[in-house]
Amino acid sequence: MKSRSVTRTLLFSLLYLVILAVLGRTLIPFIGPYYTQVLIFIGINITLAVSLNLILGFAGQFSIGHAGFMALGGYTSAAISFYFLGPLLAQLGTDGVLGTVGEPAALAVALLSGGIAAAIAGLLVGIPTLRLRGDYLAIATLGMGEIIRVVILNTDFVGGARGFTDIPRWTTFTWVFLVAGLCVLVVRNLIASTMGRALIAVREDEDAAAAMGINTTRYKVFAFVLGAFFAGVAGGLQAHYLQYLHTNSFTFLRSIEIVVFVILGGGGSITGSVIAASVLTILPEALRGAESWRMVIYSALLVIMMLTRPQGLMGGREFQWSWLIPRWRKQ
Amino acid sequence: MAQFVQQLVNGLSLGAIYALIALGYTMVYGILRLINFAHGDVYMVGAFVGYYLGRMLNAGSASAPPSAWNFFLVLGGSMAACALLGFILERTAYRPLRRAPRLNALITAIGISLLLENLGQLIFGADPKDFPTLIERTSYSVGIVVFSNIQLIVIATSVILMLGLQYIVHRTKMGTAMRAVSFSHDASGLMGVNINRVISFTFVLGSALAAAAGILVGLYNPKIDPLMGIMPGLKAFVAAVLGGIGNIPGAIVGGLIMGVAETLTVGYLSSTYRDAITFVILVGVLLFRPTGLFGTTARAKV
Amino acid sequence: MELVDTQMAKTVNGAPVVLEFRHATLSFGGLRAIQDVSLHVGKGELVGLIGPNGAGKTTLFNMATGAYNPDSGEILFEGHNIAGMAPYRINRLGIARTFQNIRLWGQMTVLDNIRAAMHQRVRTTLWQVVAAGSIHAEDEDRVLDEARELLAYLDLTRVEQERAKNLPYGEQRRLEIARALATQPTLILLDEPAAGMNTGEKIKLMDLIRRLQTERHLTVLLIEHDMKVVMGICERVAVLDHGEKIAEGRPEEIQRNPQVIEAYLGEAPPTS
Repeated sequence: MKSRSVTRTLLFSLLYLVILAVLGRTLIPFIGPYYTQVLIFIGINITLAVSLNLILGFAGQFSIGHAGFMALGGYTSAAISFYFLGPLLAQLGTDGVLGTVGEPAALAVALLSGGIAAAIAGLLVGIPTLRLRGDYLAIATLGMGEIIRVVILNTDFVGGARGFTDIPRWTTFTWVFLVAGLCVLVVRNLIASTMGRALIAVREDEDAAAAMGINTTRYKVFAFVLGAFFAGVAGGLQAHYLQYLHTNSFTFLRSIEIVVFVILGGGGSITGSVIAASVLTILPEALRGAESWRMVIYSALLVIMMLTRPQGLMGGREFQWSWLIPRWRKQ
Repeated sequence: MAQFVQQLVNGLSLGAIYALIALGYTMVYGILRLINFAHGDVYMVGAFVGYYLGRMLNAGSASAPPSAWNFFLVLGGSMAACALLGFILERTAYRPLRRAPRLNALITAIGISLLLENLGQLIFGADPKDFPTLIERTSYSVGIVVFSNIQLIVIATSVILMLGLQYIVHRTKMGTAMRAVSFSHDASGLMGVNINRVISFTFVLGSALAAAAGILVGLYNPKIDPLMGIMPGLKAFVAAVLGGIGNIPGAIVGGLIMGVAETLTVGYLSSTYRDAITFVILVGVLLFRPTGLFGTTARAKV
Repeated sequence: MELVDTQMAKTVNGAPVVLEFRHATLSFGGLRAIQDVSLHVGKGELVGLIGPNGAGKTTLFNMATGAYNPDSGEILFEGHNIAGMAPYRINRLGIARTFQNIRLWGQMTVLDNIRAAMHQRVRTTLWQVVAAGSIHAEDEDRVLDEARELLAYLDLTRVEQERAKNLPYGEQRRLEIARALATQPTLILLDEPAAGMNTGEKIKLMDLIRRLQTERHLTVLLIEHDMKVVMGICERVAVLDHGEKIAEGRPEEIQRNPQVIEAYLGEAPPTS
């Protein structure tokens, strides 16, 4: 099992980008705004699920306040766009190169700021709380998520209780799946590497990991920060799509929704998160009309899942290309 | 000064309710190392059972005027019903997961909590309902401090229930068994303790206390709705952690502190921070004294 | 991390002291687990630590690896005072261990258990791994090669892709040793490595431990209940009972020591 070559990764990435661009030009206008929105939320949820899986599934840390990171990233990026980037673009005008490059570049800056803000929060939260284990950590992350929400709620220049409106609409299908793809790639590369194996070792038996020289706190904080970063970017993507933000979208319930993606797909399986996030984004849309039953079914499903198949859909395994093509299957 | 004493009284009666709920959290954690997320919703069910029982008795109307008798009937009925609920939850959802990884039990508890809340919304309806009047509200004044008989009843009932709990835990065989099991499942089992029965009993006891809290709140604050368990549940949990989770007197003290802290915050700062103080206390405890006020740090054997 | 004793004591055969307990004491609440234990291990030695169950042998290991903090006394490793140091730091200084109850990383494959333990050999930082992804293939390939070498040395190549929790008991024990070796220690602490093995496996294990000493130039401190193993390979044996060291010396001397015999007579005779 030699590690992948750089060229192979680059080639696949390039192919992926091309496909995205093509789909963006052809498929999206064809299917209309409603289905486009569903696709965009699938992409955002994939990013959220995979980033949480890094913390929860691979590093084994009970983080159940992920929506807090998302909120922080969303609001930070929105504030930067609204107060700074938007007006800047308007001033510079939209002709020539700036016309095509302006918005994407601005979004990139906004998303990056959101991600970094969330990452810093991950660091500040992670360092003290990762001394805690299990249930205690769960409660601490829950509390952190709520504190972030309450602070934002009381911050007027980002809308406070009224919400943040008139955020520029820069998110596109291509952007969303660019981020999702990046998240999957980064997490996959990390996990497959020796360092990633050390991270999983922390999950499997933290004391044994320490006895083998692994600085467990450092690894846990790292997973937290990276996961928070992508959650923040996802928040930014949502902000620049809906053009509106309110703290009601980032409650504990949202955090649990993301946890459900990870658990149903199977902790420790990127494939599982992708599938679960996609299916569970489509399902509520398909079940429109049975709103009141939706949450009942959701929670019942969660309990039944934990009692019967806690390892989730994929059971911690990943999709292998060899499943598709028997001839490639290794002996 | 009078304002302060007033707030204190209000805070103590609120705190008594948090304490009753916190006891359930702390007992279950002590015995299973599980945070029973669904406990706050058992409190909600208790309030609703009380609501329907009260309706059946036509309480508050001419045919059944407010009386102590109504109150005790409803209280007892609700506590019994929730005791049963707690028993069923433990048997069906928690017992199978006793040997499973901690995360699974946590997720299941969250799932049950959501299930109860959403079923509640479906079955009871999402709109707030008016709790029937079981006891006529009158006020007393001592100096410039005003308090109602309801507050007295809340505090008195809570005290009686807590004393009852102390008696059970320290003076009965079952109580000793509970304390033994919270130290070690294996050792107690080997000493002939029926672990399953002890755990069921703990859930039953905790749920009954939560139901009582629900009824008392119904007296205090007549509007009830299926989501009413979320915040009090969380606050009671923080109270349990503050006191030292697993520690029974700690839960009581924690509950009272939370009640007073909340009332003082609302009184002297602003009501927007009512819930925020909970999280501040939570984070403070977890960062500076995770074992709580009365908890002890145990050296884990590697 | 101060250099406490630059003048290192010599042991009987002239080798410098690698690990030393000086009047180490540890209590758990009211229970005195380790009482004023002084013990030293010389470089390249193969020392055995025996005693009845509950004597405190594993506790002594735990103190040396940083899991427990002694209440008083010192623990010196190559001159550094390691008492109270974080476990991962102690491992990086050069002490590795196996566990009495096997603590492998069950869901990972055999190969990955070794790779995880070799995390220090990848010269890139976490951030570089993420940013550059597979660019550091040379590092990864090198780790894979070395991991495979180690597995071959411990005869585990055949089960390389098996999940660790699926391995038979004997192979799990060997994997724990391989994993400890992967951290490139100078001192290895083996906690009852022969437990649960049959005679054939024990003979192979004894040979392996000897080879660790001779081929890999490791210093070995070994907890064992099986007297054949202890007498067979240990150069020196220390005996603990109720947290105190009651005897120390060559295996033959220990076997005849009346205090040792009495300590063991309180329970089932040692497997011999």
